[in-house]
Amino acid sequence: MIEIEGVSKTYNGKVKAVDGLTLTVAEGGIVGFLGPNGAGKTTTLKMITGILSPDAGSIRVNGMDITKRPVDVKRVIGYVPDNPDQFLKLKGREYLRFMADMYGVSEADRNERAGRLAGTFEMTASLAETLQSYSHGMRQKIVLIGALLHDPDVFILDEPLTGLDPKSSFTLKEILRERARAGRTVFFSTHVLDVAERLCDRVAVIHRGKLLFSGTLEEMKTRAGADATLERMFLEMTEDA
Amino acid sequence: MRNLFRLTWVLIRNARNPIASGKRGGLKRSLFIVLIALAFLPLMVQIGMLADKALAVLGPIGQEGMLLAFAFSLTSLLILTFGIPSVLVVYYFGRDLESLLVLPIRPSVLLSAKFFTALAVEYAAEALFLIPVFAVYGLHQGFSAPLIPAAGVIFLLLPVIPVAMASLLVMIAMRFTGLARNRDRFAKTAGVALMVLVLAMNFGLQKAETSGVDPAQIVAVLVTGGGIWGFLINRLFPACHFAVKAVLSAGSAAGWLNLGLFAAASAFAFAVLLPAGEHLYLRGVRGGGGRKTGAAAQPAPGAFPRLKAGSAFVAYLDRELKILFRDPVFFMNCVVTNFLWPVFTLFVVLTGTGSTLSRGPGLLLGLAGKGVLNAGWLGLGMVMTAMNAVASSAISREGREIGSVKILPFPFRYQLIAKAAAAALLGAIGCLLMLVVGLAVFGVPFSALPAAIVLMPLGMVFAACTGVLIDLFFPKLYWDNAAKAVKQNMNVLIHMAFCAATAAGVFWLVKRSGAGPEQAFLCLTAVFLAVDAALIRMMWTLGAAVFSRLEA
Repeated sequence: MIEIEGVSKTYNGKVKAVDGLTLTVAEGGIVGFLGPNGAGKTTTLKMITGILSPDAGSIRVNGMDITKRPVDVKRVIGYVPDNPDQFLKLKGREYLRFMADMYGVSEADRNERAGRLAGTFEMTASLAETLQSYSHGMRQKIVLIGALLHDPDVFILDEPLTGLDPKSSFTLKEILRERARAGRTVFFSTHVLDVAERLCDRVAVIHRGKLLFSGTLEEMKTRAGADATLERMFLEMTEDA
Repeated sequence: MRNLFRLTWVLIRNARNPIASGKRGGLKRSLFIVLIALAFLPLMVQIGMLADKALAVLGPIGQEGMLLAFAFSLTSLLILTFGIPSVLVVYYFGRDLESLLVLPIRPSVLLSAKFFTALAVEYAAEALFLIPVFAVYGLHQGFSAPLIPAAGVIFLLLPVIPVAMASLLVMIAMRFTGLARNRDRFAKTAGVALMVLVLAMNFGLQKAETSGVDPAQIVAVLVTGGGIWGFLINRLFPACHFAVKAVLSAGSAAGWLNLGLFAAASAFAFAVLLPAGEHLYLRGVRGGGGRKTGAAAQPAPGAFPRLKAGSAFVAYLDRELKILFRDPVFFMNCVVTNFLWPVFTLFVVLTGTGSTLSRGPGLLLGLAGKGVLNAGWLGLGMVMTAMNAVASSAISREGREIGSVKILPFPFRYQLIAKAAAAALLGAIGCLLMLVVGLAVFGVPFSALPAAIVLMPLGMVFAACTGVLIDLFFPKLYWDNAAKAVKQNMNVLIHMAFCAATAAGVFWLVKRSGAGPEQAFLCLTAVFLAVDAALIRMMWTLGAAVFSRLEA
């Protein structure tokens, strides 16, 4: 579970990226984090994962405060950033071994999970190459595998479907559903409203750093009118705000 | 033609040093050029002095042409050698190909623009060798009015043939072999090869200058055409003979004719390159047969490799070292440097330059039994570790992707220690090599080894911790090219100066105190054990807190 309470973040003392955000992401469901460009989605996700520090408010993951117990929080999180251009000088297998060592995954578990996921995402043959030689989609896939190696309780993804081929995209959606069914927390940001509509149990809409809506799609429809699409509701919300 | 000029201009501007960009690019560029010129001035003076000595011998016997032939051929060979990496960068690794291939321009225009861009890069190297020779020749023969334009035309045209040859060689290699497909590996190999070449040239020049050039020897070398190398380069660049005659007979009909013939030979080389380049280069990069040069070839499917389990600290340190060894910029500036200083020290001894160091054997024998030698060990550990810039760029090297290590469930204090350990490890390689040079060449007594083994690591830890802390407090995370994280990072310079000053200060204090070896050893060990412990504690507490606040 992720509990965000009154979190704010300002860049350079001027740009307020997140403004008093309060949101709870419960386990056992998929929560989509929606918002236009520059709404504060990535900043929020980076604060949850400990990459950025909030100026105000608190963030708890599985009951642990990120500022007080950062290492313990990071251990239960699997994070897929919006930009997979990281650790580019490492080979695929070196990256996976590095991630497994960092999260303290046992040898049996790392080999079982990495082997299975690499096969699922058709990455086995590319593991001997450096990440630098990978395409954007391949980098996205290796980062996904790395984030799942320690079987995280809380899975956070920033625009995870960007650059993925249809098969990998389908596989990832299945993984997200499986994790939600297993009672894990899944929280991801996306621009693709169709995906959010089909995949998410709940959505949270953020605009100019403020939360506009948080609830199920049905609740949203009730608020906007029965026959409105998510796209229509989203546009109306962000235009009105 | 207008397209060609525009495209060449854009490519040259795009290829220029990133230091010259931005609002204050003009001033920075000027300062950069002045600095580079100052750095190369001693080499140009040395070349000029050698040319002067040669002309003093050859002038009276009317054989000035031998010097010119040798200078033109050797410069052509150097341009061919240095041209290969720059041609590769301009033609293949420029990252502009996809944008250029879609432009509505003729292939010959694209090829010509690429060629002229590669050519422009070579003028700087040419100036280094040819300007001193022309200047000395002009001083000996008098700067006649026709000599200056002839020399100017030759200067402009001389690189055409070697760059065309380099282009063809590279295109053939890239089209038909897998050579240089790994951009990083190529950049590292080329960087080390160029460094060795420059060192060898410098070695030759220093040796020639300090050993005193025997006039008879110069005549013998030039009359025989410079031995086997001279023979090879004369055969490789026969058109240089037209250039020699054009200079020797500058102003006469024969001079103009030879200049015309040299221009024609250069034009011919360019004319040959165009159709060949269209076939080899453009088809190659468009993927029209042969080996792929762009995207990595699809690896064959294989079994999943076993992932062994290890400690998080070792994994992090391993990752630091892998990045340092694999990134060409980090490799050249942070890894090769450790091997370079021992080589430089040997170089000074072997060439016999430098008033004190060149005495080499036995130089440090006199320090045996003195406390300052122990201060020297400590200082060596500090300076060698600071010189490799690993610690002082430890945070900057992460760049905007610093979030990728901040997300790891590996405490920041351990991350900082691992970064410092990488710096100390690489510094240890340099120290070890310096120790070997000291034992073998400078007569360092073996009895000094135990003190060196204790004090050098204390110096390394000091430099590693201070470097990481400096870079942690003032990291340079916003860079678009790795050179900015190391070469253009003030933290590196500040840290080197700080460590050099500390080493010098400690040396001075020990010398002034007149402490004996035991006293100095015990005192330095105790003080620097405490200082290093305090620095590690500082990284552990304050450092980790600062790291947690880093944002990019």
